[in-house]
Amino acid sequence: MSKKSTRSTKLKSDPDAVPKKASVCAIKKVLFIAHNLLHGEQKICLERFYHPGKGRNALFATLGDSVIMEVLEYAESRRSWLLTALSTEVCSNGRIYITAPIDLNFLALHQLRKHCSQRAISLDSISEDSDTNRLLTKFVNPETLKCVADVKTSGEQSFYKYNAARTMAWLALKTRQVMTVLRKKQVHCGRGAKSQNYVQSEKLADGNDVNEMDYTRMACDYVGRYLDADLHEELTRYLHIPSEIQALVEEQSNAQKRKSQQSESKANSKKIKLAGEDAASKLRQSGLVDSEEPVTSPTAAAPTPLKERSLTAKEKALAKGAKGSKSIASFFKAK
Amino acid sequence: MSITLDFDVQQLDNNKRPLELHYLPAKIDGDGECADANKFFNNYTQEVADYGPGVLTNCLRGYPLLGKKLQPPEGYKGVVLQETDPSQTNRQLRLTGTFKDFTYWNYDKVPSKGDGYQQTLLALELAEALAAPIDESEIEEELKQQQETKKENT
Amino acid sequence: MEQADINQEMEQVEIKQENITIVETKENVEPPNKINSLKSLGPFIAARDNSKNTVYLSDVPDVCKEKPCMLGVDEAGRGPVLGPMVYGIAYCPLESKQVLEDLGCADSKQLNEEKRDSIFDELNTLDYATSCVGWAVEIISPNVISSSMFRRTKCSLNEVSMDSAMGLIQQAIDAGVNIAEVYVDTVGPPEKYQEKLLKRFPNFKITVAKKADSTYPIVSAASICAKVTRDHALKVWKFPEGLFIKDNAFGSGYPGDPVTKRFLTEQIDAVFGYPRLVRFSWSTAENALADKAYNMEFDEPDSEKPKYAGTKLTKFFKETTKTGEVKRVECRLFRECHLDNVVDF
Repeated sequence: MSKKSTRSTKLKSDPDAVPKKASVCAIKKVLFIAHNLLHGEQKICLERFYHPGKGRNALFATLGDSVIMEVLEYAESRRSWLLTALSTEVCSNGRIYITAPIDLNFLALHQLRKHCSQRAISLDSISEDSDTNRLLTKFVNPETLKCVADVKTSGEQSFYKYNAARTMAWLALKTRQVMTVLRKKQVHCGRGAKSQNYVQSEKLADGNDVNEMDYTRMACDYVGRYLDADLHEELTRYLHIPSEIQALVEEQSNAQKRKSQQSESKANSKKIKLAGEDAASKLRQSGLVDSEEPVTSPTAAAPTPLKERSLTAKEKALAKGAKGSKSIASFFKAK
Repeated sequence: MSITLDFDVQQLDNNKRPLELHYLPAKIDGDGECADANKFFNNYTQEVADYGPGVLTNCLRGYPLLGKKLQPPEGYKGVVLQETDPSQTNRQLRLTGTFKDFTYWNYDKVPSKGDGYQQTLLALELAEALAAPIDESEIEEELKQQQETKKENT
Repeated sequence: MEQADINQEMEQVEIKQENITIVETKENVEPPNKINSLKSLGPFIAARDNSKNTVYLSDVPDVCKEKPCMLGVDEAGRGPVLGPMVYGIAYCPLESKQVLEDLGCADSKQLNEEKRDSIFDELNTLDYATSCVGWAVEIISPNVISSSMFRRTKCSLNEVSMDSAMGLIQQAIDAGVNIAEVYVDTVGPPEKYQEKLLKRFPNFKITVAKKADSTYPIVSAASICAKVTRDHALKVWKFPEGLFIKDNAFGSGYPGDPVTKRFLTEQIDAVFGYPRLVRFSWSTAENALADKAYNMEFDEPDSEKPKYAGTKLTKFFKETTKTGEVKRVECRLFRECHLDNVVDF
């Protein structure tokens, strides 16, 4: 977004301007801290551990060696805080830091795949990095590691070896857990913009296959943010999620089938006709528009996604060309 | 390097009066004290029924705001921390205070489920679902099914 | 004004902060619900919330319900950076035009404040006036002006003005005034305005003209009501922000006025900017804040949002870094709700 186009009260800067009100202020931060971090004698610490989805260290909140949560930030571009205790002050950091629950198997998986693919290793000897070591020995629950690894015990010691098949099964089940919530909350998972107009006729016209796939794609996309990139792709294949462009093409042909059926029966649906005349709304509903602020949003209580999308010639060509092909991106990846 | 949230977690609410927070829909390039919000802002807040129950109106530098009183998500405590010197090796954040609710403001837009903030609450529910443990027996079941599908296909 | 006078006036501008402990002294006398003299105008305005608009309609003289009337519309305080803009209407039977002239409703720009005040007083107290001339005003709060102009879908001052004018005419109709002719003063091009008024009120003979207040006595009467109301609104302005300025001497509100200039320089808060007496949507105010207050950035207005373009091919490519690694895109849900992990803290 160009600075020019934003509404700003700043019109010019004057080098001789009187300096702004001096602020002797400590840097303040607003946090939502989960209740399970707020008990016991110890103080909460913020520590960094490797986050596979981010490909780098990220922040986690810990309470002693017992509780660990992921720290997320809600960071809308134009937000600040105004807070009043005895006096009022403004805080330019408009973020909200939120501690969120996380299954540490996700963090452990990265280490297991990296170090324990070939042979079984005990948790304390997986990594020489002290942070990783702390993560694996203090926080990771050895019991739940059985979901993603083969465990061999010798005396007191346990050794772990990455198990790809179990991991896939475990991830698939995780994805389904997420889908359950998406469905329960009626989150809009289709690519298209929500359109109240279409809901009725859509529901009648079609089964739930595509809808189901939208949920799966959304859930897998979400689970993927906790995985190494290659593992995310593996999961996508395991769940038979077609690439978005492929899905587009299929929808398109389905839509055309439906359209011809409709015209044969001269079936009503005035709304569809109306919308069909409006190129702009078509494009919007096609969900193909890229924008910084997404046109679509997975809003709770959103209507079922629409499938009756018309594509512009350009999009059709694009989709046609891509039919049956691999994701274009796959050609650009480092092998 | 370590970061400690330097407060007694059990005595969060004991000492201080809750803070009053406004979540403003603007980027403000500045930190520090300003005029009393009770005189320059809070006294102008009004509930306007036209926009729905609980919707508040106000203005900031002439820009119209629509807001709502919100609470931190269920299971969470609202906390404000401050740090005097982030360059230290052992960083310590001290407690400024806690809050039970805050006023969420949008710029000329009724706060709704479509707001990023509201969707963040949904994301927390997903995190909950993703973190929920999976029973080993379920994994065995999934593996078995996977085997069968493979057999069918060959 | 002589330079010496200006200096003297500037000296008088004392700006004090009120004590926090001041308790509103409840006046025993009920604030007036009617404006029936010049004296009651100030207290009437002072009792209203100055962050909102206030409409006042005088009693409608019976004769105005029976006989066809002319109605004049004019405004006061359009240009200044401070205080409300006031829209005024006045009406009387077509046959009572002489009364307006007897009252002295001539070119209102030629009248000084004292003269306007006395005409306003007579308009509300003398039988020969109250029996056939009615009036109404809308005080448009500077808070409302700013927030209308700064809406996501901008509402220009012209739209605010026209809405107010048409609203007042409608209220007069609703109150039973038998309107036949409408005369409106305008600063902008009259044609568009006239067209809009005719569309809304097709049964009236409508005249929109520049300097109508000097041509039509009924517009002059409306102008006097508006101007006197605006002057009093400033005189009785109470700052919810707790400021106290002696005699409310913040000048005319025109950017060139040194008293106004000084007010705009001194009354800046880094966050809130000005007290809401000031119209934030005026470039004078914006410029002064740009220098001395924190820069503040809201969403861009709707009209400036990028138009829908065709599909971007990049949507189907994954971004790569210089080394050829695939840049991972954050999951859709997190992207859409501006969530991410914390890397820097």
